[in-house]
Parts: sequence; structure tokens; C-alpha cells
Amino acid sequence: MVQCRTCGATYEPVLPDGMEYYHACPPLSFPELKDALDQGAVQLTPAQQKQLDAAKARDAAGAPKDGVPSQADIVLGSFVVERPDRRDENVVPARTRGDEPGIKAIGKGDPVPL
Amino acid sequence: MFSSLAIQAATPLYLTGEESIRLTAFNSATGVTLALRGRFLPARVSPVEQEPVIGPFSHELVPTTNRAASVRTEPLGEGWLLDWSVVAIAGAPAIGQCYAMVEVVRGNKNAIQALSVLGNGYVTINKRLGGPDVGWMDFLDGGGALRSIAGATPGAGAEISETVPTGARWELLAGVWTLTTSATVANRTPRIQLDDGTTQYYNASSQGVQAAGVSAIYAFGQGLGFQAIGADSRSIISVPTNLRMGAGHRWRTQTGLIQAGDQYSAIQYLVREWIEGA
Repeated sequence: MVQCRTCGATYEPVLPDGMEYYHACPPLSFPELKDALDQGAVQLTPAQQKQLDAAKARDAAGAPKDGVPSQADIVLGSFVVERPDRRDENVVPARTRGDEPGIKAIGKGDPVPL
Repeated sequence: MFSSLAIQAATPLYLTGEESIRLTAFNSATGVTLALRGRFLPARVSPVEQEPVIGPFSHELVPTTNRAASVRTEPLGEGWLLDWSVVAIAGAPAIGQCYAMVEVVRGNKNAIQALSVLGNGYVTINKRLGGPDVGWMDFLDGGGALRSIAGATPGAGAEISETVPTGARWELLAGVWTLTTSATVANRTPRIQLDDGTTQYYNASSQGVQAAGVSAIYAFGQGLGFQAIGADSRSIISVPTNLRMGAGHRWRTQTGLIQAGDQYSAIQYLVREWIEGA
């Protein structure tokens, strides 16, 4: 079992059937995206920013009731934003036969053995 | 006795000596060794030469496990390729895991030019690929390899995301996960999404919400309906039937109102897998 240095996921690099498992970090979840935006670690696309601004305007026009998520949170939760330094262990497709392709994205480095 | 002196080429498998036979394999199974075997009758090019005899050949190839092409090219000389076969002599690849292609090529080092394809298809310990009467099988033919995969357990507050490996094509059949929610009050709505690595093309929600401090098991599968979390803390989500996902595509969760302390775990799913050969 190993742990990804970027996203904290744990996984077996070799599955019980002997097949190799290639980990790829998930996009940021809703709370992770909120934190990343607060810290300036990621930027929304102009289209996403426009969508979020519109949602905030709707929230400002009428505050959500207790227990009901804000329009901004609903919109933010629908975005797919990849995490910074994401790791993707899948190999880069070989351009020529016989190549030894490297992995797509190293992220924060090799996973930590557990 | 058969004399090869000055006879006409009896089959299209006459090689001038400038051609070679090439085995290319695309493989995902571990411990596989392929053998390219056959019989070759050298040509008799001069009356002073002894009558050639049919000789067997056997060349081995240990393919990589990352579905990229592994190649072995062997010159055979001038003469007739009488028959050939490829078989896995080590490892236990299933249909869908080790695809072999045999070609006649010109040259055997740099600047190799493929001239003809003798045959291609999946090979196993028991299923050979062979010629001259060859059964052709395309990369995406057949039932594929059935694989039960333990997915990565994401960090707390993160979503599940499983990616189709480079060189593979998947049909997502079924799966399960457990979501344990933290004490933070909110109604979570787990959804399953399929995307092409960037843009989603399927999005289905569990029919209901999961409250704080609850552990629930979600199952998804082809041909299922939807079921909200019941008293047994189980829910069902449907995924498309016969939908094949290309390399780099993902299935993942996107959870409405997921909280930082929520934890996905026990992720297991079943796919059919083929080699894409791209």
C-alpha cells in the first residue's frame, strides 16, 4: 500500500490479480476547491468565474434559507477543477513503437510506502 | 524429396532475404513471455549447395505491461515461411490482455517498412495466433478481460476518481463504494460522473441524500434503476449499458455538499477491458 503525496489517496500499485494500478489524482472536491480558491492556489476559468459571480449575485438578492446551500456553493460544487501538482501515473502514449514512455504527471513525487 | 532449386514461389510467404518477420505485442498482464514459432524452408540458390531442409524457428518476446508496443524483429533469410504461430509460454494473459501482430517487414534495424500483416489477435496460454490459415481478431473484438479492481481510497473530503489506463478501453459494469459522513450537518448527494478526462458525458445522482454521521454503501451497475438510501443504508445508482470508455476517461464521484471530514472507502468495481492499440 502506498500514499499519494499530492492528494493523500492510498492504493495498491499492484492489484491482487497481478495487474498494475495507475493512480491519477481526482479533481478538487468542493471543500478542497473552496480552500484552494481562498489560498489562491487555483484559478477558475473566465466562464466558471462568470457563473460563480452570477450565483453570488443571486445569493445577495435573497439569502438562502437555513439548511439550504447557497447558490454560490451549488455552482462551485459543480465545477471540475484539477488539483495543482496532480499526479497521473498513466504512461504517456508512445509515439513510436518500442519506446519506453514515462508517466503523464509526476505530481509531488513518488508515493509514500505505508 | 522436395527440391527448392529454381522453383517458383509457391506461396505469398516467399522472403527474399531482405525481409524479416516482426512480432509486436500490446500487453497488460504481468509475467508474460510470447513465443513466435514456425517453420522455414531456405531457398537453394546454387546447384552446388546442399538441398535445404525445413528448419524450425522460435523467438521469444517479453512484452511490457503498460499496453505500449513491444517489438521483436528477426530475419529469416531467403526462402519460404511455411507456417508460424504466436503463443504465451509464460504468464496467464486473458483474452483482452495480450494482443499480438505478426508482419513481414523490410529491414531489421532502423527505417523498417511494414510490407504485410500475416495475422493479429489476442493470445493466451491456450489460444494461439497462427498461419497461414489465420483467424483475424481486431483490438476491440471479443468479450474483453473481466477485471475486478480495487480503487484508490481518496483522502478525507476528496472524491473517488478512477481513470482508464493509457492503451486500454473499459466497459464499466458494476461497482460499490462506502461513504462515511462526518458530524458536520449537511445533506450529501453522491453522484457518479463519467468524463473524457475533462468534460463529463454522464451524471447520475443517488435518489436521496445522506445525512451527517452516517455510513452508507452505494452500488452502481448497468441495467439497474435508482434507489435512495433505505433503512439498510444502501443506495443504487445506474450507469449506461454497453458504454465503452476510452483511455484517459474517468468515472468519479461528485458529491453535493461533501464536507472536509467525509470519507469514501471500500471502492471496488468490475470492468471489461480491451487493448486500444492506439
